[in-house]
Amino acid sequence: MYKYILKRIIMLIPVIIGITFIVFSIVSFTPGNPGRLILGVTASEESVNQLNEKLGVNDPFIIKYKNYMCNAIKGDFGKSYNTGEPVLDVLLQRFPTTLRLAITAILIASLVGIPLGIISSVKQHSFIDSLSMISALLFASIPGFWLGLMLILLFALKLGIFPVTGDEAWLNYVLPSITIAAPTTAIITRVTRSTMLEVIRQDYIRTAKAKGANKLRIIWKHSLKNTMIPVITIMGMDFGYLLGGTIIVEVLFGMSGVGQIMVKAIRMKDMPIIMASVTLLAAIFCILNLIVDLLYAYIDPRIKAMYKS
Amino acid sequence: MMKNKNEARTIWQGVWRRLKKNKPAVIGLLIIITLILIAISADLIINYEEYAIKQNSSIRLQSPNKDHWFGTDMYGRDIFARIVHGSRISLTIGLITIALSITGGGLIGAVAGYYGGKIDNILMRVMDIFLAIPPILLAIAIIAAVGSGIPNLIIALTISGIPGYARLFRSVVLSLSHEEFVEASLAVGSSNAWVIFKHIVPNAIGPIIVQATLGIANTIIVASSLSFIGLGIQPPVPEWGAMLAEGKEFLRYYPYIVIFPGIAIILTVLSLNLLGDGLQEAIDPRLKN
Repeated sequence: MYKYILKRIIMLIPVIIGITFIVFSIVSFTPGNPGRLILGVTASEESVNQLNEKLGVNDPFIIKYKNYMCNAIKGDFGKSYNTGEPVLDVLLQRFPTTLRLAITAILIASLVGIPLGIISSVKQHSFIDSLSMISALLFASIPGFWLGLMLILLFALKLGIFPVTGDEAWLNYVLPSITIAAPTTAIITRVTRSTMLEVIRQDYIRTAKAKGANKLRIIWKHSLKNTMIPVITIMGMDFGYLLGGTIIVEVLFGMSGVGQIMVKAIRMKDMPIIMASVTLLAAIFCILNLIVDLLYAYIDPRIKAMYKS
Repeated sequence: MMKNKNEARTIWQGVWRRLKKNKPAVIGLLIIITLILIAISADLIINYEEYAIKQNSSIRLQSPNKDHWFGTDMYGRDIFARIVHGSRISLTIGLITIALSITGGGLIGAVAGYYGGKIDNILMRVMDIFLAIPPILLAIAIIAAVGSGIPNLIIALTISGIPGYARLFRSVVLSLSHEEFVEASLAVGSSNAWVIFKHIVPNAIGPIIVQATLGIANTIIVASSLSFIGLGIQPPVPEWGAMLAEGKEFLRYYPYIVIFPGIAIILTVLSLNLLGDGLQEAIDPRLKN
């Protein structure tokens, strides 16, 4: 098992290098004059050119990429063109907010979606089934930013229960997390329901029923574990959208996470920040997917057995 | 030859028959047809320059009334007119993006799946790296490089959509190329191009239509989200997400500025999702519980 985990972690390295290469290529398409951006409009042409030379702006692409990667390994991702702060410090300071948002959203989505899917499948065609299926369809079609605005309107502006913006208290995280979690919850509910419906028709469930096992025990012991594999697959596929949702929600709720600084940096053409924040978010996505794959092995004894020997 | 055509027709007749029985899908289809008609005839419904673009401070921030069904925004522009004309933008972006992504992804996936071996390996490893970047993040990175605006947004969304479709079509082609009718055709000496266009493409068309419908829905959400955070389409263009971005400052006292464009997005996306799900069940009846 440890060998499998180690192998997966090693396989992550070329992928992350590939990501940096793609993002670096895209970002270096941008026309721009970093020297001018850093020194401002008042600086002389000469000093701007000097700084550009020092930054290696005119170097060939491959050299630039090599230099960037060599520095990145040492933890130096450059300095923000805008504030002059080291990019690593900026991102480390903002990363916890994004991580908290994403984790809370995943927790909400699975803690609501999975039970709702199970209830819907066990009580198929009931009122609660129809209700949860209709809401699942609806929430999968509502754009996050609109849902967020409606939650702000109702719970912050009208009822005054939650603050509108900021990220100091845990109360600040409630509305944003719900906004991010909504579409993922909808998908998890649907997948849990349809997989569960398939599983409860299997022979081994009928056997368990026939031998008189308790109904809750059948759901818990026999059905749920087999249902979890497709559900976890979908969750892994959905993390990308979840991170996308996090970016939008950070901007909407004014939370100082990685997504917010990235969008700000794009407006200011602050390339070092854009490069590092895109790579960081893509790396999180890869690590989340790695965790999903490891969960598979944990849940499915067939996969575990493959790596036992 | 004739027989083949008739057979194809009966398959699609069966799909249509099953789709007709699926009420949500029919409702979705009707709403989409209505939206397309509105988008096509937007200029006949309400004048673009006069109501959707021209600023008129004397009628700013009016709540919905009989002259302005959905009210007016902070510049005195009619929200109904802006939504009607905005439907053109969202539907066009969705359609063009998905058409381009499916063509690009389909081509890469078909080549990889059909030829296999080294070509497959190289193409798919490159696609895997692209897939390791969440699509919306990839689109944001591309917009950071090329700038905002409608053509750039379409480029960004297309490129971020291609890898997913490439992987999907590779698996479709892979499963089809082991079918007996493909082997038979190759055995009698048909060329690769003939097999691809005569046998593989027609059989892959079902999953393509389903993915296109669901893909357009998703593209409309992503495009409006990017416009909302200022990275997509810029004001004063009446794109639905951009309208929400402009209106959000007025949320407390004039929420209708934000509510109506949002409902337009939801209605469009929801009906596309309903139709997509219905098509999926109609094409592959085994999926239905």
